[in-house]
Amino acid sequence: MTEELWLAQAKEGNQRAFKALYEIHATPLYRFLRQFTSDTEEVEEWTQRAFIKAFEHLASFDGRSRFSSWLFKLGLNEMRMDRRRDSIVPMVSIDDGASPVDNDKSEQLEWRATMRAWLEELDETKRMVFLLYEVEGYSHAEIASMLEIGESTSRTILTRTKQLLRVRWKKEENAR
Amino acid sequence: MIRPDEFYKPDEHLDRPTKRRIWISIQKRIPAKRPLLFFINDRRSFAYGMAATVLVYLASVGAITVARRTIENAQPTAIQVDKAYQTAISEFERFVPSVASAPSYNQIPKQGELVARNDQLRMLDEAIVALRNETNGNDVSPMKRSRLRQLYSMKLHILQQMIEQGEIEL
Repeated sequence: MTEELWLAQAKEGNQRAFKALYEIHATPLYRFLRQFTSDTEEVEEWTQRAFIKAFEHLASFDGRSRFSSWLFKLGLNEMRMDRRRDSIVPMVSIDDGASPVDNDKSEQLEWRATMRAWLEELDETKRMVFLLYEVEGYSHAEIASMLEIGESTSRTILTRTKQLLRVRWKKEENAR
Repeated sequence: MIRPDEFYKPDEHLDRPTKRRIWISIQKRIPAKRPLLFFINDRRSFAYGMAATVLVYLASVGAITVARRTIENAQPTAIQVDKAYQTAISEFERFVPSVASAPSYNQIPKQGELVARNDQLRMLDEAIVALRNETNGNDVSPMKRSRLRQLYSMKLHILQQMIEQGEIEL
């Protein structure tokens, strides 16, 4: 059975169809949200609330976007809501210069090994855009919708994040 | 693009027990498609309501029965006798349907007396129906009542003879 059929049945209140959607999308959402906290209970809570919201508002899901991107948006909203409540959400700063970074395949493996640690030092929005685009494979249009930012802003953030990482990488190389 | 499996650490993936636990929590919060009865919020009130409805229905049936019997008992004896005949004959015919469906003399002329009796019965039925229509159910005209009783009596007499002579299989 395809995801479209499960969606259609879940819209009619079919819990089994919704569980099938959960089985597919729970892990990607969880591991993505896990990047923004070390508290696994918090991630479980966001995942749970995102799926409950998805079920409650399935009727409003028009299918123009992917279900997964809509779900990620709900998950991110839950995370941001908690962050706002706790007043610990860091603000985005995207005013540094930018130019696209080309992937150097020979350095890719080492790059990935250290990248995670550097990503954690970046603000959340940069991390979100980077992960959503580079790891989860969403388009800038989808990321823009999820994060409620402009598509061009999403592109700019990604470009600057990559540049920051590349500068950091070069410094690391020179230090060796 | 970076492959998610390469990027995320193994401990960042959702393990089976956690996944199951999260689903159970979700399941508790989302409504399942249930039969109509499950949509009733206050089931105790619903049960009381249903019980009350059954009691009211039974009480109504009882009251109607009592009223009907009272009305029937209040009817003149002639009408009660008429009804008693009607009931006796219709009950008999109900249990011995061969009487009602017996062939007429014209259809099978060689069956002799049995067919003649059935024709008699049919004519008596027609006369009873005609007279009952004339009396309009509750007309207590003594002459008509007397005639009706005679017809009933004749019919029962014929039926009795048919039974005694083994013409009707019981």
